[in-house]
Amino acid sequence: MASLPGFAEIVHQHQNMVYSLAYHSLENRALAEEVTQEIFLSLHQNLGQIESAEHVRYWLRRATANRCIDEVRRGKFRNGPGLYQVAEPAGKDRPSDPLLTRQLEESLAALPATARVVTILRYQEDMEPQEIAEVLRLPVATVKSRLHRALKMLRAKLERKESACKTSKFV
Amino acid sequence: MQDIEVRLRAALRRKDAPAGLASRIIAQAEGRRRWSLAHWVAVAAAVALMASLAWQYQSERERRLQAEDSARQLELALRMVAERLTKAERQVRAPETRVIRLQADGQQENMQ
Repeated sequence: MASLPGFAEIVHQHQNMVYSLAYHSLENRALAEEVTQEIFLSLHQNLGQIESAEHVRYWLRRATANRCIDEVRRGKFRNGPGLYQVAEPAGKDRPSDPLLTRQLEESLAALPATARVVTILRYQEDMEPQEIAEVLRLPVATVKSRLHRALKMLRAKLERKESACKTSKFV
Repeated sequence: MQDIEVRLRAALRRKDAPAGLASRIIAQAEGRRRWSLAHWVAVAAAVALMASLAWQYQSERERRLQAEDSARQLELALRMVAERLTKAERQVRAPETRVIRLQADGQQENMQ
Protein backbone atom coordinates (compact mmCIF):
# COMPACT_ATOMS: atom_id res chain seq x y z
CA MET A 1 0.00 0.00 0.00
CA ALA A 2 1.35 3.42 -0.93
CA SER A 3 2.22 5.90 1.79
CA LEU A 4 -0.51 8.28 2.89
CA PRO A 5 1.45 11.56 2.44
CA GLY A 6 1.54 10.84 -1.30
CA PHE A 7 -2.16 10.19 -1.24
CA ALA A 8 -2.86 13.40 0.71
CA GLU A 9 -0.95 15.36 -1.90
CA ILE A 10 -3.02 13.76 -4.67
CA VAL A 11 -6.27 14.60 -2.85
CA HIS A 12 -5.29 18.25 -2.40
CA GLN A 13 -4.14 18.51 -6.00
CA HIS A 14 -7.17 16.92 -7.69
CA GLN A 15 -10.11 17.45 -5.34
CA ASN A 16 -11.45 20.46 -7.29
CA MET A 17 -11.34 18.59 -10.57
CA VAL A 18 -13.15 15.50 -9.25
CA TYR A 19 -15.67 17.52 -7.24
CA SER A 20 -16.44 19.83 -10.18
CA LEU A 21 -16.95 16.91 -12.58
CA ALA A 22 -19.34 15.30 -10.12
CA TYR A 23 -21.05 18.58 -9.24
CA HIS A 24 -21.69 19.58 -12.86
CA SER A 25 -22.84 16.08 -13.80
CA LEU A 26 -25.11 15.35 -10.84
CA GLU A 27 -26.54 18.77 -10.00
CA ASN A 28 -26.32 17.90 -6.34
CA ARG A 29 -23.73 19.21 -3.93
CA ALA A 30 -24.11 16.44 -1.33
CA LEU A 31 -24.01 13.68 -3.92
CA ALA A 32 -21.02 15.30 -5.64
CA GLU A 33 -19.20 15.32 -2.30
CA GLU A 34 -20.11 11.68 -1.67
CA VAL A 35 -18.92 10.67 -5.15
CA THR A 36 -15.67 12.63 -4.68
CA GLN A 37 -14.99 10.83 -1.39
CA GLU A 38 -15.71 7.42 -2.89
CA ILE A 39 -13.56 8.08 -5.95
CA PHE A 40 -10.56 9.08 -3.82
CA LEU A 41 -11.04 6.16 -1.43
CA SER A 42 -11.17 3.85 -4.41
CA LEU A 43 -7.97 5.45 -5.72
CA HIS A 44 -6.37 4.87 -2.32
CA GLN A 45 -7.16 1.17 -2.60
CA ASN A 46 -5.71 1.07 -6.14
CA LEU A 47 -2.65 3.25 -5.56
CA GLY A 48 -0.40 0.26 -6.15
CA GLN A 49 -1.48 0.17 -9.79
CA ILE A 50 -0.83 3.88 -10.40
CA GLU A 51 2.37 4.52 -12.32
CA SER A 52 2.67 8.29 -12.69
CA ALA A 53 1.09 11.67 -11.96
CA GLU A 54 -0.43 11.64 -15.43
CA HIS A 55 -1.89 8.21 -14.72
CA VAL A 56 -3.48 9.55 -11.51
CA ARG A 57 -5.25 12.30 -13.46
CA TYR A 58 -6.40 9.87 -16.16
CA TRP A 59 -7.59 7.37 -13.53
CA LEU A 60 -9.52 10.02 -11.59
CA ARG A 61 -11.17 11.44 -14.72
CA ARG A 62 -12.12 8.00 -15.94
CA ALA A 63 -13.47 6.80 -12.57
CA THR A 64 -15.40 10.03 -11.96
CA ALA A 65 -16.86 10.18 -15.46
CA ASN A 66 -18.04 6.57 -15.33
CA ARG A 67 -19.43 6.95 -11.82
CA CYS A 68 -21.31 10.11 -12.83
CA ILE A 69 -22.76 8.43 -15.92
CA ASP A 70 -23.97 5.56 -13.71
CA GLU A 71 -25.45 7.96 -11.15
CA VAL A 72 -27.22 10.04 -13.80
CA ARG A 73 -28.67 6.90 -15.39
CA ARG A 74 -29.77 5.61 -12.01
CA GLY A 75 -31.48 8.93 -11.39
CA LYS A 76 -30.25 8.94 -7.81
CA PHE A 77 -29.62 12.66 -7.97
CA ARG A 78 -33.36 13.26 -8.10
CA ASN A 79 -33.85 11.93 -4.56
CA GLY A 80 -31.80 14.61 -2.84
CA PRO A 81 -32.03 18.37 -3.02
CA GLY A 82 -30.94 19.43 -6.49
CA LEU A 83 -28.44 22.05 -7.39
CA TYR A 84 -31.20 24.54 -7.99
CA GLN A 85 -32.84 23.96 -4.60
CA VAL A 86 -29.65 24.58 -2.63
CA ALA A 87 -28.38 28.13 -2.51
CA GLU A 88 -25.00 28.61 -4.12
CA PRO A 89 -22.56 29.75 -1.45
CA ALA A 90 -20.99 33.10 -2.15
CA GLY A 91 -17.40 32.73 -3.28
CA LYS A 92 -14.74 33.70 -5.73
CA ASP A 93 -15.83 31.03 -8.21
CA ARG A 94 -19.32 32.43 -8.56
CA PRO A 95 -19.99 33.16 -12.25
CA SER A 96 -20.60 36.70 -13.44
CA ASP A 97 -24.03 35.93 -14.92
CA PRO A 98 -25.84 33.55 -12.56
CA LEU A 99 -29.05 33.56 -14.60
CA LEU A 100 -27.29 32.49 -17.76
CA THR A 101 -25.28 29.91 -15.89
CA ARG A 102 -28.43 28.53 -14.35
CA GLN A 103 -30.10 28.31 -17.75
CA LEU A 104 -27.10 26.48 -19.12
CA GLU A 105 -26.96 24.10 -16.18
CA GLU A 106 -30.66 23.34 -16.54
CA SER A 107 -30.20 22.67 -20.25
CA LEU A 108 -27.15 20.54 -19.52
CA ALA A 109 -29.18 18.51 -17.03
CA ALA A 110 -31.63 17.62 -19.79
CA LEU A 111 -28.89 15.96 -21.86
CA PRO A 112 -28.44 12.16 -21.83
CA ALA A 113 -25.86 10.91 -19.31
CA THR A 114 -22.93 10.28 -21.67
CA ALA A 115 -23.50 13.45 -23.69
CA ARG A 116 -23.60 15.45 -20.47
CA VAL A 117 -20.34 14.00 -19.19
CA VAL A 118 -18.67 14.38 -22.61
CA THR A 119 -19.68 18.06 -22.65
CA ILE A 120 -18.42 18.60 -19.10
CA LEU A 121 -15.08 16.93 -19.87
CA ARG A 122 -14.75 19.07 -23.00
CA TYR A 123 -15.57 22.44 -21.44
CA GLN A 124 -14.64 22.02 -17.78
CA GLU A 125 -11.42 20.09 -18.32
CA ASP A 126 -10.71 21.51 -21.79
CA MET A 127 -10.08 18.00 -23.09
CA GLU A 128 -9.81 17.16 -26.77
CA PRO A 129 -12.30 14.63 -28.24
CA GLN A 130 -9.40 12.15 -28.57
CA GLU A 131 -8.66 12.40 -24.82
CA ILE A 132 -12.35 12.10 -23.92
CA ALA A 133 -12.60 9.02 -26.13
CA GLU A 134 -9.66 7.46 -24.27
CA VAL A 135 -11.14 8.26 -20.86
CA LEU A 136 -14.61 6.94 -21.69
CA ARG A 137 -13.32 4.18 -23.97
CA LEU A 138 -15.53 5.31 -26.82
CA PRO A 139 -14.68 5.77 -30.49
CA VAL A 140 -13.54 9.34 -31.26
CA ALA A 141 -16.28 9.65 -33.87
CA THR A 142 -18.90 8.85 -31.21
CA VAL A 143 -17.48 11.48 -28.87
CA LYS A 144 -17.48 14.08 -31.64
CA SER A 145 -21.04 13.30 -32.71
CA ARG A 146 -22.33 13.37 -29.10
CA LEU A 147 -20.56 16.65 -28.50
CA HIS A 148 -21.96 18.12 -31.68
CA ARG A 149 -25.49 16.98 -30.84
CA ALA A 150 -25.18 18.21 -27.26
CA LEU A 151 -24.10 21.67 -28.42
CA LYS A 152 -26.92 21.78 -30.93
CA MET A 153 -29.46 20.84 -28.26
CA LEU A 154 -28.04 23.31 -25.75
CA ARG A 155 -28.07 26.14 -28.27
CA ALA A 156 -31.65 25.36 -29.29
CA LYS A 157 -32.76 25.23 -25.64
CA LEU A 158 -31.02 28.48 -24.79
CA GLU A 159 -32.49 30.24 -27.83
CA ARG A 160 -35.96 29.03 -26.84
CA LYS A 161 -35.44 30.25 -23.28
CA GLU A 162 -34.09 33.60 -24.39
CA SER A 163 -36.95 34.17 -26.80
CA ALA A 164 -39.43 33.15 -24.06
CA CYS A 165 -37.82 35.71 -21.72
CA LYS A 166 -38.04 38.44 -24.36
CA THR A 167 -41.69 37.62 -25.08
CA SER A 168 -42.60 37.69 -21.39
CA LYS A 169 -40.89 41.09 -21.03
CA PHE A 170 -42.98 42.56 -23.84
CA VAL A 171 -46.30 41.06 -22.65
CA MET B 1 -21.74 27.65 -31.93
CA GLN B 2 -18.78 29.77 -30.85
CA ASP B 3 -20.95 31.70 -28.41
CA ILE B 4 -22.36 28.59 -26.72
CA GLU B 5 -18.84 27.22 -26.28
CA VAL B 6 -17.73 30.41 -24.53
CA ARG B 7 -20.80 30.31 -22.31
CA LEU B 8 -20.23 26.64 -21.49
CA ARG B 9 -16.61 27.29 -20.54
CA ALA B 10 -17.77 30.02 -18.20
CA ALA B 11 -20.57 27.96 -16.68
CA LEU B 12 -18.48 24.82 -16.31
CA ARG B 13 -15.49 26.39 -14.63
CA ARG B 14 -13.95 24.25 -11.92
CA LYS B 15 -15.53 24.84 -8.53
CA ASP B 16 -13.70 24.78 -5.24
CA ALA B 17 -14.33 21.58 -3.31
CA PRO B 18 -16.08 22.18 0.03
CA ALA B 19 -13.79 23.14 2.88
CA GLY B 20 -12.60 20.15 4.85
CA LEU B 21 -13.43 17.62 2.13
CA ALA B 22 -9.77 16.71 1.57
CA SER B 23 -9.20 16.25 5.31
CA ARG B 24 -12.27 14.03 5.59
CA ILE B 25 -11.12 11.89 2.64
CA ILE B 26 -7.60 11.54 4.05
CA ALA B 27 -8.96 10.66 7.52
CA GLN B 28 -11.29 8.04 6.02
CA ALA B 29 -8.48 6.55 3.96
CA GLU B 30 -6.26 6.40 7.06
CA GLY B 31 -9.13 4.81 9.02
CA ARG B 32 -9.66 2.22 6.31
CA ARG B 33 -5.92 1.51 6.17
CA ARG B 34 -5.84 0.99 9.94
CA TRP B 35 -8.95 -1.15 9.80
CA SER B 36 -7.44 -3.14 6.98
CA LEU B 37 -4.25 -3.65 9.00
CA ALA B 38 -6.25 -4.70 12.09
CA HIS B 39 -8.35 -6.94 9.88
CA TRP B 40 -5.27 -8.75 8.53
CA VAL B 41 -3.79 -9.06 12.03
CA ALA B 42 -7.08 -10.61 13.20
CA VAL B 43 -7.13 -12.95 10.19
CA ALA B 44 -3.50 -13.98 10.86
CA ALA B 45 -4.29 -14.58 14.56
CA ALA B 46 -7.35 -16.66 13.64
CA VAL B 47 -5.32 -18.72 11.16
CA ALA B 48 -2.58 -19.27 13.77
CA LEU B 49 -5.17 -20.32 16.37
CA MET B 50 -6.81 -22.72 13.91
CA ALA B 51 -3.43 -24.21 12.98
CA SER B 52 -2.53 -24.63 16.64
CA LEU B 53 -5.88 -26.31 17.40
CA ALA B 54 -5.51 -28.56 14.37
CA TRP B 55 -1.98 -29.53 15.44
CA GLN B 56 -3.16 -30.24 19.00
CA TYR B 57 -6.07 -32.31 17.71
CA GLN B 58 -3.80 -34.23 15.37
CA SER B 59 -1.17 -34.99 18.05
CA GLU B 60 -3.92 -35.98 20.53
CA ARG B 61 -5.42 -38.28 17.89
CA GLU B 62 -2.02 -39.85 17.20
CA ARG B 63 -1.43 -40.35 20.93
CA ARG B 64 -4.86 -41.96 21.34
CA LEU B 65 -4.30 -44.27 18.35
CA GLN B 66 -0.90 -45.25 19.77
CA ALA B 67 -2.47 -45.96 23.18
CA GLU B 68 -5.21 -48.03 21.57
CA ASP B 69 -2.61 -49.95 19.61
CA SER B 70 -0.58 -50.61 22.80
CA ALA B 71 -3.75 -51.71 24.61
CA ARG B 72 -4.55 -54.11 21.78
CA GLN B 73 -1.01 -55.53 21.90
CA LEU B 74 -1.21 -55.90 25.68
CA GLU B 75 -4.59 -57.60 25.43
CA LEU B 76 -3.19 -60.01 22.84
CA ALA B 77 -0.18 -60.74 25.02
CA LEU B 78 -2.38 -61.34 28.08
CA ARG B 79 -4.64 -63.59 26.06
CA MET B 80 -1.62 -65.61 24.89
CA VAL B 81 -0.30 -65.88 28.46
CA ALA B 82 -3.74 -66.90 29.68
CA GLU B 83 -3.95 -69.57 26.99
CA ARG B 84 -0.54 -70.94 27.95
CA LEU B 85 -1.42 -70.95 31.64
CA THR B 86 -4.68 -72.74 30.92
CA LYS B 87 -2.80 -75.26 28.82
CA ALA B 88 -0.18 -75.75 31.55
CA GLU B 89 -2.85 -76.12 34.21
CA ARG B 90 -4.65 -78.65 32.05
CA GLN B 91 -1.41 -80.61 31.72
CA VAL B 92 -0.79 -80.45 35.48
CA ARG B 93 -4.26 -81.72 36.27
CA ALA B 94 -4.15 -84.54 33.66
CA PRO B 95 -4.17 -88.24 35.22
CA GLU B 96 -0.99 -89.31 33.31
CA THR B 97 0.88 -86.41 34.79
CA ARG B 98 -0.15 -87.53 38.32
CA VAL B 99 1.09 -91.08 37.73
CA ILE B 100 4.40 -89.81 36.50
CA ARG B 101 4.62 -87.61 39.54
CA LEU B 102 3.76 -90.48 41.88
CA GLN B 103 6.34 -92.68 40.18
CA ALA B 104 8.89 -89.98 40.50
CA ASP B 105 8.06 -89.61 44.21
CA GLY B 106 8.48 -93.43 44.74
CA GLN B 107 11.88 -93.45 43.04
CA GLN B 108 13.04 -90.70 45.30
CA GLU B 109 11.95 -92.68 48.39
CA ASN B 110 13.83 -95.83 47.19
CA MET B 111 17.03 -93.91 46.61
CA GLN B 112 16.95 -92.56 50.11
